[in-house]
Amino acid sequence: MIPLRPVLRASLVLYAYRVVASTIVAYPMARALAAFGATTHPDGDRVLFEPGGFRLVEALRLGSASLGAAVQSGALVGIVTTVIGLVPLAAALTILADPRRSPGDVAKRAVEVFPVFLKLGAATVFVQAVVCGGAAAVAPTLSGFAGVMVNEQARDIAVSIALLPAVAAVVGLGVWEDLARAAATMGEHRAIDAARYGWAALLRHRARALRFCLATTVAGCAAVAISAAAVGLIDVSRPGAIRVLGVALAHQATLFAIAGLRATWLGVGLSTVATGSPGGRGLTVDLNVAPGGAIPAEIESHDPAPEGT
Amino acid sequence: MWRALAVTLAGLFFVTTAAADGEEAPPNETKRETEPPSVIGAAFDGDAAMPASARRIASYTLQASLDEVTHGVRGRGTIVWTNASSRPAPEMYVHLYLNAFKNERTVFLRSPFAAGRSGRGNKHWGYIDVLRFAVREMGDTNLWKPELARASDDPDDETDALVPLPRPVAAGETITVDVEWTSQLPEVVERTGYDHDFHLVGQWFPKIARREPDGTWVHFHFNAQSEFYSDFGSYDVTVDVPERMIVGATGVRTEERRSGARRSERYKIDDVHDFAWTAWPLFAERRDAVDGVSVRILFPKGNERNAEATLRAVRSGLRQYGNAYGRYPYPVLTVVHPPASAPAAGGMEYPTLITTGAPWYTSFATTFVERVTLHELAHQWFYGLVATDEHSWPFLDEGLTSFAESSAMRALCGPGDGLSLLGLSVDGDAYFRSAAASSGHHDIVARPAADFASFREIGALVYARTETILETLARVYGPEKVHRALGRYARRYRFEHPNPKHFIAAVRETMGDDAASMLAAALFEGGTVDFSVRDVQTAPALPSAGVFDGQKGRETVDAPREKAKADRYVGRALIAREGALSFPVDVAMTLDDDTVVRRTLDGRARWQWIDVDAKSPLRAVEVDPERKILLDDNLSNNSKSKRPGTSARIFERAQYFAALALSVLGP
Repeated sequence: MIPLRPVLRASLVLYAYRVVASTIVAYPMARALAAFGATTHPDGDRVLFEPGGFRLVEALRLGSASLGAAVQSGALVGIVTTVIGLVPLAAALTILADPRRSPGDVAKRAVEVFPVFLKLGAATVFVQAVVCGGAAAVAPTLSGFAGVMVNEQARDIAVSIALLPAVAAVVGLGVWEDLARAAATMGEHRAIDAARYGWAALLRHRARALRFCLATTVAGCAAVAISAAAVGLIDVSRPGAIRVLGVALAHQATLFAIAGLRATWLGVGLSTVATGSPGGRGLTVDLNVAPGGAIPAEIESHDPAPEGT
Repeated sequence: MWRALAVTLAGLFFVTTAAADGEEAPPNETKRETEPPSVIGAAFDGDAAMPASARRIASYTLQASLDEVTHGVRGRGTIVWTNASSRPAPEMYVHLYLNAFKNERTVFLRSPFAAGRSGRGNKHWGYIDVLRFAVREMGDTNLWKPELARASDDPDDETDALVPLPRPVAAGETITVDVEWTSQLPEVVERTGYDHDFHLVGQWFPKIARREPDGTWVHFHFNAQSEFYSDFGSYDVTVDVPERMIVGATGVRTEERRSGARRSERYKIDDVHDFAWTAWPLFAERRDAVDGVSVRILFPKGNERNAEATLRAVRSGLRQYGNAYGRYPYPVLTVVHPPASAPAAGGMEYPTLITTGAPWYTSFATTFVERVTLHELAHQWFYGLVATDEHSWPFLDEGLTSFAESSAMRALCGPGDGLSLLGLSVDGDAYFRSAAASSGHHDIVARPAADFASFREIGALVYARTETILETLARVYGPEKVHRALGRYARRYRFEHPNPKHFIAAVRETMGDDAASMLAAALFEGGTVDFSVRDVQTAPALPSAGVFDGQKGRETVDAPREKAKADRYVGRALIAREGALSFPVDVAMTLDDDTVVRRTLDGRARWQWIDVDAKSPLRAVEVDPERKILLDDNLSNNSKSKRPGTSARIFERAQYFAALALSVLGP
């Protein structure tokens, strides 16, 4: 059972980081589009959402060069903010692992584990890229084999099914990485050790881990879909600041919900690692201890000594 | 030569030329203009006055046998041809379109940058070898020699053959030509060819070029950017294929015979000017009857949803186009959806046979299949029934078809027929308008296909800009007027070969001189228009200050204090127009209290101040608020505001989607 308060705190950290990062990424693109369609019209950017889409398509046409440049720079900024985002992620994990820590301690711990997270992230992205590249290389051959199937729909579905192991591998690598991050947060100083702990935990509790990962992913997709439906009903092409506010609230609620689901999954990851470490040693933190409460004597929390000492 | 032709015809546009009867015209002389009638008349607003059939100039009775291993077609048959011109014909021109794919020196494949609608060259060559061309009335000797295909002006291209005749064919005389040939299909390119055991057989037989009434032969090398032009006639074609093949073809299947491992099917149709067919063993089939027309859809298995979308579009299109442009006169329509491995076979029109095509999942999320189907179906009228010269005037078929498609899509799918997703509703017209605006200054619309810089320019100008021109006329002058003009044009010239003059005259008759002049300027002169709001000013309406000599003597009126509160305001806006075109245009003036004052200008002046006197200051001005003038080059200068408009919606959406992306891709 994951207590609510640490999850909320962790959610806030993740949400706040994403709001800031996405604002930095999105501002140049939004500015580029607004410059060609919104600022000179009496209705402002509402005109870009009018039925027919003439002003929107025109803004995209006239602003394509600027927009293209903004998208490229946004992508670069996005990469940078993604890397920096490992710090708030570590902070969220630290809050979940030990809710008693002060904000200063949380920040300090987050910075401490950042290098490990960076190594884990780089390794994961590399392996995922290799898997994706391999799948892309194999796909034409699979399509060739599937060419004997007469039904084009069945053929494509067969190829997709054949590529599912690659998709599963990519997702599995992500799950493993999260568990490794959890292990790193709980005391593993080296990325390789954290990865090993994470792998052991994944093997021991793979069904639980994948179940929770899938549940939070599906819930996140559902939140996005519900938000999209609500936004469609609100219809910002019609006048009224209340509509803009309504859409903004719906969107931010969705983002917060996604951050909350992420925090929930991270909490599950922590408990999975805590009970799934190799040899049963270390990494046993009882997440049910209330913030500021006494630690029962039977609960241990220690950092294993590095190998070779 | 074709550029000179286009300029000559544009210059002769308003000059009446008398047909020169009795004079011998040298070959290729550009004298094939025919004058439109002074009035078409309201009788052609309905179908009753439409011609019932075409004059049969070139009728083909052919037998073709497909070799599925070599992908070759062996053919023989007869062509009954009438010299319907006013001059004797000492020679005949024959189109050998398949030779365009013979090697990389042909006009079609000469460029190393690939070409045509498919945008790529082909891997396996295609060609046609005529073996026999004998005129029964002229001794029945074989007149064909291989060098006939190598035109004197371009010996590397064998698509345009000149056959000298032993004696001229007199004006009005009919001859019978016996032909034999072999066609090697290329790997599918430009809507003809094969892919594995799928065959789309188009432009596959020797085709007599069209001879205009003044004796001009309309012959040309098959250019990558061009299409076709030929005479009406009857077609009686028997195709012989392996037993396992499923065949679709122009016309009505009247016979089927089996002989061992092969099967032959006979197709007949009157009043058409081309014949195409397809053969593939893996077609699935869907049949329906729509207003007496037997509709047959051939598609690869797995594309059932696309087939349903196609049928939905055909049902709607046959009725809409029939009501607007005259009833579809043929008893059949075949729609072919090629396999996914042969996309170059899709999106093409032949009489009573059209090809569409899209991945099987397309209809789950888009209306692309409906749009392509409606476009190709509209070609049955603009190309099929109104058989304009696609080589010289591509806008007359592709442009009018694009307009018809757009209208039909709106009727079928409603607003947002271009995209309807996540609260955004984009009309197909917006895409046409965008392409038209990007290209409006590049070139003129009304020019021969081969004279455009690239097929991309053809797409932007011939398809999109023509559609946008007509849609602008519809929005400014009324859609019913444009549809009436097109309807009269389509009905009056059914089974004929009109040129741009006929089309302009039909518009003039139903919509008036202004509309016709704008249309002509937009098509022939590259006319453009850009309305803009250059300035917006507002000030308190205060009494005039100064020294006044009145009946009561001299009076001095002080200037009002700066901070005096006015109860009325004057405002004015400077509306400007650039470009040669002009249209009546609306202006919306928004005051601070959100009142909107509207004005209508005749749009002729290069610039004009318009004034408003109201209780509230003038805040913003927009010209053409209802987006009637889609031809407007630039919509972003159509408004000006004294206070910058809010961009909250854009920023909020951009931030949201960026955050979603970071949630998925980031930590």
